[in-house]
Amino acid sequence: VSGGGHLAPRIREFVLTVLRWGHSPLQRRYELGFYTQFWQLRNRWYRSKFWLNKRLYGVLRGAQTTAESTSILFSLGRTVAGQLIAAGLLVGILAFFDRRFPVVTILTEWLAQHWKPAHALGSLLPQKGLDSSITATTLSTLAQISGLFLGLYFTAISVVAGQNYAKVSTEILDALVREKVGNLYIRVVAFFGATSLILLGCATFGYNTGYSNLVLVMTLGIASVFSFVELGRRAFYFFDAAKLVRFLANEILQAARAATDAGFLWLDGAFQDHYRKQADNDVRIYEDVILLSDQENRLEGRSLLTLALQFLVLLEVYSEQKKRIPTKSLWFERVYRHRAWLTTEESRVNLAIGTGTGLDPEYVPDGLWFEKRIGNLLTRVLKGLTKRADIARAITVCNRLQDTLGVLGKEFAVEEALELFQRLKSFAHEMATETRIEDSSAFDKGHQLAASLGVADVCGMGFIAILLGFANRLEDLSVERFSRLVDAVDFRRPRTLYRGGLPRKVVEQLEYLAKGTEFEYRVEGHQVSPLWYCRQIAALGMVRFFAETCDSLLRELENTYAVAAESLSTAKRYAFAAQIVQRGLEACNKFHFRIERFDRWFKEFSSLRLVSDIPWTEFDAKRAHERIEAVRGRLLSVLATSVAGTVALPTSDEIPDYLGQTYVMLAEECSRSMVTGDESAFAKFFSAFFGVSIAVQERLRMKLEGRDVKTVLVYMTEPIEDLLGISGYALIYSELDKKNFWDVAKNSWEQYLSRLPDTGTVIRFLIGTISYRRSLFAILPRDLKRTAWTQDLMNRLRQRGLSGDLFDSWSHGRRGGKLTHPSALIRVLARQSFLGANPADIFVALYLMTRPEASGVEASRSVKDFAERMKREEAKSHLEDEEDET
Amino acid sequence: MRKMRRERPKELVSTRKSVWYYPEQDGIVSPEHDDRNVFFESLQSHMFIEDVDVQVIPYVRLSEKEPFRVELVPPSEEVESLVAGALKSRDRGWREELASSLADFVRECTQSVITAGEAIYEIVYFSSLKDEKPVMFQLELIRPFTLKCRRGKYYQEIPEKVAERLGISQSIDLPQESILIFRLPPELRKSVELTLRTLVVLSKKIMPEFALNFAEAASKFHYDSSDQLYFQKLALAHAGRALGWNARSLLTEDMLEFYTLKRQLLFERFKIVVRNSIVETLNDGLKLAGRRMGFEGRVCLHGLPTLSDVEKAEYELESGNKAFGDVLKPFLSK
Repeated sequence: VSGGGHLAPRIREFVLTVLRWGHSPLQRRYELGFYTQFWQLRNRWYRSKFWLNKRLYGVLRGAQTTAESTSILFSLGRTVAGQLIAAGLLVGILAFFDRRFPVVTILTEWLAQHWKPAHALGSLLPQKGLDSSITATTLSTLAQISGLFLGLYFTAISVVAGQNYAKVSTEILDALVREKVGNLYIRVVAFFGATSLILLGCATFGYNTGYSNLVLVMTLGIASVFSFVELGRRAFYFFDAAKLVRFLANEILQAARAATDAGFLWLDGAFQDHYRKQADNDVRIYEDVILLSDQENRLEGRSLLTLALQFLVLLEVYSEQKKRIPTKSLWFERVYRHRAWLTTEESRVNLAIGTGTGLDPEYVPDGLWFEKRIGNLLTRVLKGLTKRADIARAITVCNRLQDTLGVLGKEFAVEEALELFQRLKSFAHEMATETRIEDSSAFDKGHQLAASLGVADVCGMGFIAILLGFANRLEDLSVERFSRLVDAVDFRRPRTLYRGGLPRKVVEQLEYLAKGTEFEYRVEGHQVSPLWYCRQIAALGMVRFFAETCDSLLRELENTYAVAAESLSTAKRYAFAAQIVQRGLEACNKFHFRIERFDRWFKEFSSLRLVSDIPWTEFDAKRAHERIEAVRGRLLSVLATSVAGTVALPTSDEIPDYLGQTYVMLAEECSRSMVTGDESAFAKFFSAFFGVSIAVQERLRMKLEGRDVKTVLVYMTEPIEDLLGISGYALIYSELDKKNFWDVAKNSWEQYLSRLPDTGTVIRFLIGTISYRRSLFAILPRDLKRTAWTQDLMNRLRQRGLSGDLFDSWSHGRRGGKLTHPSALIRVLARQSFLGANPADIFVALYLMTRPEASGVEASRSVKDFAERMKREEAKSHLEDEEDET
Repeated sequence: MRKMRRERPKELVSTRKSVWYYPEQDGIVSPEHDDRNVFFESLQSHMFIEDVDVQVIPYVRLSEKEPFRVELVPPSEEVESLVAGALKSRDRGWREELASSLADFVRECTQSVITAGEAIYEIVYFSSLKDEKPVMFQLELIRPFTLKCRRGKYYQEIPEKVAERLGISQSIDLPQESILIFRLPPELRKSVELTLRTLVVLSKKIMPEFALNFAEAASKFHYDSSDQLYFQKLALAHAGRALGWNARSLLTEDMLEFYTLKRQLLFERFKIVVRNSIVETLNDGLKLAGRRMGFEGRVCLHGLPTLSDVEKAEYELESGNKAFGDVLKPFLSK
């Protein structure tokens, strides 16, 4: 129920405003924003703060420079200290002797006493203390010496710089001038000169400056003399800009560090921008130095190598620092990004429509700006080295780059690592396509090819390094550790957001939480969102990072190995293709293994997901395995289709045995495709394997030249044993699984034999080879592999209930019932505890011996035994069929 | 169960004493009215009022969920029909159903209580000419700020011009037992008042005039629009803090989901307290009417979230053992 009476509107309004502002400082701040004076005052406050900070920054920079100079001074001091001490000691000893045992005086006096003409010598001896005129002369001489050294140093620098840097950019000249050791030397000499002049002035006015000053100025003089030796040597650095700009790396890292949570005013946009500009300027000098070397071939290979190593160290250290830089920091260069009409907020779209303009592009931070710039420099260094035919150093760079990739992977900087890896990849690709082995002499051919292959190999290993680096770091990051790191974050203290060394995606989530909790602090006065929620949001960033990284790595696996190997094979660069395949298969293997661990890690990490309707990322391990397997299949296909080219590759100990590699892998794949029932894969691999088995024999013959006949025979017949064995398995698996493996194998054999001018000889040779090998009582080179295939088959027979173990075999009196498999071959095999027949023997017995050309050929006992058992089994089967019919 | 609306027979005599009028008709300005009316006319405070009155009780027959149930204790079809007819409101949907009438009445009453700080009704009885025994009753809204109280006696104050036009006295005495006053619980009054007043200011002050020309404001006064906008959101969030109002989805971008939900539950609590308070006052009114008309009955609501539901949801939200959607589910009408 309302009462009467009203306050005057203005007083009432005032009271209400006071009450409102008292109740809510946020409301007060908002309403103050309606007064221009507020903004003007605020701006003045910010400007004063900035001015103060700028001065403070200047002081800090000055202190830093002083610290640096002191460090160099100590370093120079250490260099000259020995000589200085030696000189001091010498002077001291002489002075000591001069006082205690004045040999010269005694000798002079003795001479003067005993030899009249020497009487005048006595007058040379010091008769009294320090003479001011002599002191003045000494000081004057010392001042002249300082002037002389300054003149000499600048003359030397001018000569070198004039010759080498007459036409270089101002940035390089600026860097030359900033050469720190030289600068410090100039300052010391100038100080020495100035001190001498002051003392000289004092002496002129009749003021006795004492022994100490004289000692100081003389010490400085001596230090200048000895330092000049070091400086003189360094003057030659001016011939090599790479050595001169070494200090840039340190400056860049200092700038990057300043942009991290450890830096001065690291959250202030103006300072962030300043730090970026500093680093950008230094990178530009690097770019100019390399450009200079490209244009005038000025830098030596060694200097380029030094530069490249500097870049790699920079990237490694930076990858650690970078995680401590805020995502929106102006340290990250801004780049234009065009907006999409359908996803841009409506107000912006309406404004564009209303004004008849397009959508204005947005500035977004480029998180990889620094890596891109340094990556470009590395590419140019690699190209420079190639241009100088300095492949050895290029390989050194690539090797070191591979380590860097591993380090980046370990720092969770996978995106950065992949960016860098692209440089290595394109360089390796260029090397592969540009290496013309046909144009070189035999020695050069192998050497040059080996070098280029080395680069390709390093490239292949680069990806593995990233994968392993990432995987190892991921395994170190358990759920408990991650939770501890997130719990340690105090959202009110921005520094704590960046101290966990977590990936950018997590940092972004933490920044998102910080923004949200800041809102809570302002409105509620405390953080409302609980710890578990913060953990889940941070963990979401982690799983997103993980899933995206896995996807990027899988995509890169496809591009780096499958696509590259296919394109190289198409371009007939078979050696490179084989090299990529080799590393690719290794990468697939490692990836398969890691996927299992990733899956376990991911499932453990999902325990941080308490609330199910906050988005989460899924990781499909099965799909990942499938993608890896698809890459593996493509790589093996490349191997199969490149057989002819691989056979034609030059043989050299410097080049890996690609033919042997092709042979072994195709044999394995033939076996694997039969085991998995993959008919198309078998059809693809068997014909290639057939071809390579023949070719590899010739390679073995060349390789084993000069060895004893028995060894040569054993090794040379290995491919025959494998080929006949795989053909035997084709027969077995076709019977076992009703597949067309045997049709494929038989067709290849038929084609091969039909092309031969004398089929009979070859068949006899093949049967004879098997007979010979059976006569040897030894474990032959690839017997273990073949035994593994056999064991695998036996296990499969047992799993299907077709065969028992050693004590459950037919030979030991099988306890089970009748064997029901329709194939006589399978029944014969299943009756044995171990296979009982060698697959090569099976092939000989069931195919080669049945050919007309084999009539009269004596097969080995094992072949004959198997043929006999088959006959009995078939007869038994026939009899049982008749009995059944009856 | 649909029941026929009980129509007031023409021959019935009403006890109504209060009058409803529109002062604008006579060019009369009421400072009290204008002071409160601004809540309804300003964007942010209007949104707040609307959110409360729309959500304080579900719309019968519009909800996809099983509608809430209104029980008359003790049960009586006759009394239920009487009460349904008594709850007069602007919305005329299914007046014959107690649930529908009650929902409409609660919504209308909520709007008045939030906007004007109170809603005053006159219990009007209708009786036949013969025996003067009341046969039905209605709750008639008394125009806000016209009811005055002097020495414990209520009277309606009518402006001179209106009284002249209507030919009535400027002061109409109203019996205390026929007045029903709905108010917010004391612990909420100050918060609601402060929230509404702040929201009015926030509705008025959207952008400084000097900032209309962005470029000039930025260069001349160093005006930072994004900063100002951020503080506008903070002020808005602070204004709705005590009651948990989230300014619809205006703050979503800046607030974490957990905090948004926590506030949402606070808002649910507020609505339940308001609803319970209105129903309680209504039951007091039914008691008064029952005493006069000879019936007994009070309304009880079933199937609507209670304060213990809010507490449970708050616990589930804090502990993180339920999906956010499930935490809010009991409070969603659809």
